[in-house]
Amino acid sequence: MSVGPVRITVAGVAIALGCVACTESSTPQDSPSAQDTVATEDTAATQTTMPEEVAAVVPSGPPLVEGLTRVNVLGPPEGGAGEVPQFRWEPVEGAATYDLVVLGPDGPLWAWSGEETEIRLGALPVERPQGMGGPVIVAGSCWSLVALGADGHAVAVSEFLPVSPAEPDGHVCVPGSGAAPTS
Amino acid sequence: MSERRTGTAVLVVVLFGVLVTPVSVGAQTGDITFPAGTSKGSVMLGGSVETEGFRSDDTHYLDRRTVTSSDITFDIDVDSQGQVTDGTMTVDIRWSGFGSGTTPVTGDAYLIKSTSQKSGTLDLEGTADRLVATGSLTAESSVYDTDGNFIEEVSGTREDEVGWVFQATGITCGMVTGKLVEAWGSGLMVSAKFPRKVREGDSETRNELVSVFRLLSPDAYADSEALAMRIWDLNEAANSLLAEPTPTVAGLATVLGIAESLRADLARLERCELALDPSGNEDWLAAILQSLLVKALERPELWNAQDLITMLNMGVRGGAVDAIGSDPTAAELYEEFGNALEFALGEAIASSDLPTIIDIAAASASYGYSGLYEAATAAIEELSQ
Repeated sequence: MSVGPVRITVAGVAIALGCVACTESSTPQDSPSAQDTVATEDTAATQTTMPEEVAAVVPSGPPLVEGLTRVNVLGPPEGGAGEVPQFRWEPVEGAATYDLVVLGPDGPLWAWSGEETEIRLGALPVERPQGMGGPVIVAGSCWSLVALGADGHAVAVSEFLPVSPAEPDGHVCVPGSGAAPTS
Repeated sequence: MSERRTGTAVLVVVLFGVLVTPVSVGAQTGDITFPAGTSKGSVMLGGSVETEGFRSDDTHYLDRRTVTSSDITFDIDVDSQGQVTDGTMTVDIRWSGFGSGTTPVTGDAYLIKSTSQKSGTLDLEGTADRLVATGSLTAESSVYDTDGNFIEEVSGTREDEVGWVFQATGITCGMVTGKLVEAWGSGLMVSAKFPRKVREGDSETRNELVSVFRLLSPDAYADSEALAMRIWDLNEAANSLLAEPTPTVAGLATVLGIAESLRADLARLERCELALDPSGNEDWLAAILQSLLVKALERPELWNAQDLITMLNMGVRGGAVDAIGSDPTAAELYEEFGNALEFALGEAIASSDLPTIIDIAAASASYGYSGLYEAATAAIEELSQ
């Protein structure tokens, strides 16, 4: 079942969370504030302040959960990411760890949790040698990142982003449902 | 009959092994073959078996056996055709037992503990496709009451004829992994081959099993001592955690961390020439994690949402949880995590715990739980108004 993003009011979440994730921007200086981000009607288009060279290659998608500060993702690109891409993002102020999940067309492909702000699929510290097994990206995959505070609660989330090993196939990522073909 | 609870038997046994060899692996056909020369390996058996039910006279019983240590090592000599020409396996398995219930005749309650050991040396023959260990093991058991007072030496010392068959199933870089595929005789190794779930009368049996062989290339062999240490650590951590009534999140992280360090050690080797199964997952790690996660989710009420999300992350990371049915246990765990998170969401909604609801919304969005995501986001919207 396809589930579209649920829109919530900025003020509502800010009040309910005690503004932990909203009034104290956990994004870098040049990133949109939480209010700017969530106030945007179509958050998939909220990439305006990212560096030009990054914005050119970083895909976009709906936020994982609306109303939270956004994690600025730096890579991989939507297409041509290779089978074992490197995931990169800007650090989030107040984040103690990051949870990363790669969702394939048939379910979760891989997940990771750690303090670093970049990780290669499979979490090997070196390039995966030829002949070594492990998870690989397949067409129609989506990935996302959740920044967790020291208390274990989410303080920021990424968009739900498409990624393909070869050329972009145009799929979009729907939170909760995974990839869907573009209409 | 209406008051008669369905008996449950839980069997969680993990077998884990390692084979270290000083020579390269022949891979001409894509089949996994043992390399010519002398190889060394080990096997770990860990976990517990629990059986609960009612006897024919309606008296209740519970029997649980938990492996407390397993020290199983072996050496094999292999010819140029991949045939094992000589080999021995040294075995020392120890486990504890716990029994409770009501005595059939008197109806009195009983509660006993026991310790058991099975040790000896087995002969090895066969190939990587069917490595057979056979021979006689010496078995001993002693029974105590719950205060630790010795009651009786149940078996004395007896000889048990056993047969265990292992099969190599995959290769990751310089490491070949495999599992126990057949066992006869008596003991936990036989129990380990039970199907994961068996319902028989009032009994249900569940089982998790994994075994591992590692074959290291000449370059890998140079580092075999360090790798062997890592494997030893992994054995210890997994065995210790499996012996616990309920695994801990920290313990799961330790097992996963050591396994990934081992994998990183292998990836750093100068050459990685064993490209027999380049797309293969590390099913041995997945099986260990599955055993632990199945055990953890038997009591979902023990975990808060953050614990569940952390364990789900570790399960997916280690290949133990998946949504599709190619691995029934992985698919079942995926569903069980969804159910547990749904329960946690209900509690969070009841207590208006918005941060937790948001955590569940983010996790359900990431892992593809559409219904849960819908419910969580609806709750966020409602609480935010």
